Amino acid sequence: MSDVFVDPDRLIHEPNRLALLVVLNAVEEADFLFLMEQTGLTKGNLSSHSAKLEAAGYVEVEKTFVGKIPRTVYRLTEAGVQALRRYREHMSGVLGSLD
Amino acid sequence: MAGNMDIAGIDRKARTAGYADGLLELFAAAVLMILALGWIANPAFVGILAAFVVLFGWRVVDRVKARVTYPRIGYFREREDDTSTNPRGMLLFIAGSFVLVVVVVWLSGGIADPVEWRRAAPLMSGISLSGGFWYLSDKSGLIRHRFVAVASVLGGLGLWLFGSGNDYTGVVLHLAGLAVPLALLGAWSLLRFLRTNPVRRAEGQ
Repeated sequence: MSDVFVDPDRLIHEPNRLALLVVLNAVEEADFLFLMEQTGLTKGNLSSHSAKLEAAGYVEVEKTFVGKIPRTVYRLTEAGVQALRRYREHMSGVLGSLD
Repeated sequence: MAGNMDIAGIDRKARTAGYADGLLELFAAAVLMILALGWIANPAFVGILAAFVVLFGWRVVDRVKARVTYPRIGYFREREDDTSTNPRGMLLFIAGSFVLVVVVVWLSGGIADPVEWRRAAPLMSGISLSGGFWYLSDKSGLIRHRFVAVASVLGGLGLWLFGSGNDYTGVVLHLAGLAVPLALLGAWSLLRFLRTNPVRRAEGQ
């Protein structure tokens, strides 16, 4: 079997988490509401997927307040940037090898 | 949701989120209109006026975004520079356009003639502003910004070709001629944005 068929990063291969990383890759930083708006994920789904990405070290989270309103800001880490780049290359390799 | 996610669409939407509210167009229109008024009032202070407006105008835009944009679609900060065309390229283009206009004025035989400089002012304005809007279109991926860049050059060229150079009417017309459609575009975008994005006061509401 060719090298390109080696398993991709399972954490990113999940579409919801991939969408989160793609949005965070497009901006410098974004809050919870922005990620919900852009991805269409529910509050619960977003919390769950972002926690997994944070645990993997792909995103960093900062909890602040704007007045009395809580704001959770997410940023892609360097590890997240590299993981997304590797995933893109991997998928390009896989799809590029098809007729 | 999983399985039918349009990842490319999500990427595109996130990259253009900063332009959805039309505030950038409204800000650009205000800057251009203030500059046009500056050329009418006192051309010697236009440079200082431009620096002042851009420097403090952005703070106003940030405050408006905090009140209008972020409560609707959430807070985000755009990447400083993530495209192939960087701000340095834009500045080089503007410097190059200045050299080009100097050559044009020199070739027309009036390097020491204020009339030729006044006549060439819309051309200078047209080319340098097109650099800014071209950079913006590269960043935003929006065709309307590229259209403004092209219109800026064509407008400046036309006003240079058919202008008299007796006063600063050409450059005033050029700036106002870009400001009015930009203001309309910005107002239309803002209204559409407000209509389609209701306020969501707290995270996840």
